[in-house]
Amino acid sequence: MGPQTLIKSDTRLRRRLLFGSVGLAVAVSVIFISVAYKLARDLGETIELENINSLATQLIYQIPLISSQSTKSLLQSEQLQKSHIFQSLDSEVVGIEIWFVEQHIKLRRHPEWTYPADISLALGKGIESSGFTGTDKERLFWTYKIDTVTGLSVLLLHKVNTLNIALEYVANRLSITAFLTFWLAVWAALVMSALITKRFEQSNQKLAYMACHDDLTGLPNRYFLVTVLNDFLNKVEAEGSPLKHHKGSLLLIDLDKFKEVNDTMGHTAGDDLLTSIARRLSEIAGDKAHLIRYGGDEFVIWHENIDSEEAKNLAQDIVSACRQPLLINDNQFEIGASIGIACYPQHGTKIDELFKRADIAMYHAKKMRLGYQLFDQSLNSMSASWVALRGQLNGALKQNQFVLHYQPKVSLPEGTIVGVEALARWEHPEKGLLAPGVFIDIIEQSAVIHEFTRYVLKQAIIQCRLWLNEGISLSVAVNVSPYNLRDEQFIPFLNEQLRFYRVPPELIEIELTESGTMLDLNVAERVFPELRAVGVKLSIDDFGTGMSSLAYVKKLDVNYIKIDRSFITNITTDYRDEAVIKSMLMLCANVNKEVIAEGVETFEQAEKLHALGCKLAQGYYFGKPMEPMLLTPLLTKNTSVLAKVTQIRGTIIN
Amino acid sequence: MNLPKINCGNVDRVVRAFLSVALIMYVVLFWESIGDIFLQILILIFAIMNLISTTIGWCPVYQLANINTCKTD
Repeated sequence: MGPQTLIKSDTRLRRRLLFGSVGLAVAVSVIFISVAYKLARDLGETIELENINSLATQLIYQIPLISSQSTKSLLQSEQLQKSHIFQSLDSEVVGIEIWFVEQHIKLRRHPEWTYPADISLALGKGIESSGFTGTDKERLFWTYKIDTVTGLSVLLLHKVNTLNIALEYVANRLSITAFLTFWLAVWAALVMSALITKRFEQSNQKLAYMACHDDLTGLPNRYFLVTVLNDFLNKVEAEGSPLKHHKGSLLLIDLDKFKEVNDTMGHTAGDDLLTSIARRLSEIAGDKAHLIRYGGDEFVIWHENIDSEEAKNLAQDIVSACRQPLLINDNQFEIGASIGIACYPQHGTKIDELFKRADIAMYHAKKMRLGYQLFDQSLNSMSASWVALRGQLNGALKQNQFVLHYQPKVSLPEGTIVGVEALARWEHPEKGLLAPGVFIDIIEQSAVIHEFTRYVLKQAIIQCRLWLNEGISLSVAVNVSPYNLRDEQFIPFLNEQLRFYRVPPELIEIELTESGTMLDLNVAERVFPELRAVGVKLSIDDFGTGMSSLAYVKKLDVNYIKIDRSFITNITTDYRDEAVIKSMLMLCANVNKEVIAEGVETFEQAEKLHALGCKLAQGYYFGKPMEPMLLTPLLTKNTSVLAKVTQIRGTIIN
Repeated sequence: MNLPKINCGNVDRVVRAFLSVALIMYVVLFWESIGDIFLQILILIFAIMNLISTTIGWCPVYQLANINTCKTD
C-alpha cells in the first residue's frame, strides 16, 4: 500500500475550478455583448438624429420656396406632395407636419395619430427640440424645427433603423465572437484546472509522503506503521476466520551504542550511521516486510505471515548484520542491536499490546545483552518494571524524586573521614528507595542522562556548601557517565554552580568509571584537562575492571585511582588478589596517584590494605551510604568511624 | 514515434463532427451576413480543428487537461 492512499485526493477542486472559469467566461461574454450592442446603437442613433435634423432644416427653407412658386398664397398639401423635395424623401420618414400661418398640413401620417407628451409639450410651447418616441411596434425619432423669420414650423417623424441594424450586427458578429471566446475560455479552464489540480495533487502527495516517512532514512514512520497494523487487524476482523489462522511478527529494534557515535562524532555521523543501518535492515527485511523508523535509533519491522521461529531467524540475521563494522568518516564503528519480538496473535491482538510486549522483550534483550528476545510471559514481571521505570523517569526528575546519599571515604590508619562519595537514590513513590543499579542503566540509555548528572552535581555542590556553612570542609565525589563528558554544557554548568554556591573547586571530585570503551577514553583525554582547569579533582572509578586500565593510568591525569571492589573482596584469602593490589599500589605510587580501595567490608580487609600501604579506603565497614542528616554528626563528632580505625591501628601497633 | 493515445470517446466524436459540419455550413451559407473575414476564418479554424480531432480521436486540449472521454479506459 502506498502512502498516497492514506490521504484521499480531492477531486472537487477541479470541478469547482472548471465551473468557476466557465461561469466567468459566460459573464464576460454577456457584459461584452451588452456593452457592444449599446455602443453600436448609440452610435447609430446619434448619426441618424443628426441626419434627420439636417433634413428638417432643409425642409424649413424649401417649403416657402414651393409656396412662392404656387399661385395661391396658402400651402396646398397636394402641391407639397407633388413637389420634388417631398418626392425624394425616403420611406423611412413616416410623418411630416407643417404649421404655416393658420394652416396645419399633415403628410405621410395617419390622421388619428396622437402626440406623445414630449411632442405635445414642444408644440405647445413652440420650442425647437427632438427625441425618441415609439409605439409597441416601432421606435421613432422626432424633430421639431421653427423658422423664426417666416413662422413656418415642421415636425418630422422618422423610423429608427439603427436599432435593427445594431441587433443584426450583434446577432451575427458578436454572438459568433462570444461563442468562440466561450470555447477558448472552456479550453483554458480545462487546461488550467488540470495544471492546478496536478500541482495540488503533487503537493498533496508530497505532504502525504512526508507525513508517513522519515526524512533522514526515507523509511516509513510510526504513523504509517499504525495505519498498516490497523489495516491488518481490520482485514483479520473482516475475514472472520479464527485468529490462529493469521500470523504476523513485530520486531522492535534498538541500536546499541548509537548515542556514543552521535555524541562523539556529531549528528552528521549519527545520521550517516542511521542511513547505513536503515539500508542494511531493508535489505534483510525484504520486500514483504514493512520496515519503519520508529524514532531516534529505534526501528520496527512488521512482517505479516511469519511466525515466532521465522521472526527469531530474521532477528538473528539483523543482529549479525548490525554487528558488522560500519565505516563512517573513515572511522570504523561496531554497533549492536537489541531486538524484541512480539507475535500476533499469541502475544497480543491489539497494536498497543504488541508494541508494549515487543518493548519489554527488547529491554530484556538489551539488559541481558542477548541480541534478540521473543516475548515471554515470564518477562512481563521482570522487564515490565524496567519499562515502567523508564516511563516515570522524566516525571521523577521534575519532582526531585532523586536524592543523594553519601558514603564516607576514610584515611588509613587514622580513620578520619577525608571525603564522601555521592550516590543517587530514587525515592520512588510506590517502590520505595531504589538503588542506582536499578535505574542507572535506564538513565544512561535515555535522553535525560545529561539532565540527571547535572541535577546530581548540583545537589552535591549544595550539600558541600551546607557543610561548609557548618565549618566542615569535605570533598564530595560525584560519578559521571562517559556520556556526560560529551555534553558540551557540562563544564560551563559545573563552573557556574561552583561560583554560585561559592564552593572551592578542589572540594568536588569527578569520578569516571573505567569500564567504558576506548572511545570514552579518547573523550576523557580531551575533557579531563578542561576539568582540571576548573580546579576539581579527578578519579578513575572501578579501576581494573575495564579492558584498558593501564591506558587510563597512562593517558589521564587524575588525582585518585579507585580499585574495584572485586579485587578487595578476597584480598585476605586469595594471594593473587593481594599480588594485584600490591602491583597496583606500586604502579600508582610510581605515577604519583593516590589509591582508594573500594568495597572494604571487614576489619581484616582494612587491616590487609593498610599493611600493603593503601592510605585511603571506602566501604560498608566504615560506613554505608547515608543521608546527610545521619552523616553530619559523624563528621563533627568523629565517633563510629574512628572507633573502627582505632581498632586497626591498635592491631597494627600490637 | 509514439502516436498520441486516443482520448476522445465515440459520443464526443459524434458531437464534434456534428458541430464542425454545422459551423462550416454556417460560414458557407451565411458568409455575407457574418460580414467579417476575421470571424469567418476563426470559425473555420475552430471547425477544422474539431474535424481533425474527430477523425484521429485525439484532442490536444484533452491531452493537456488530462481528460479522456473513452468509455473503455
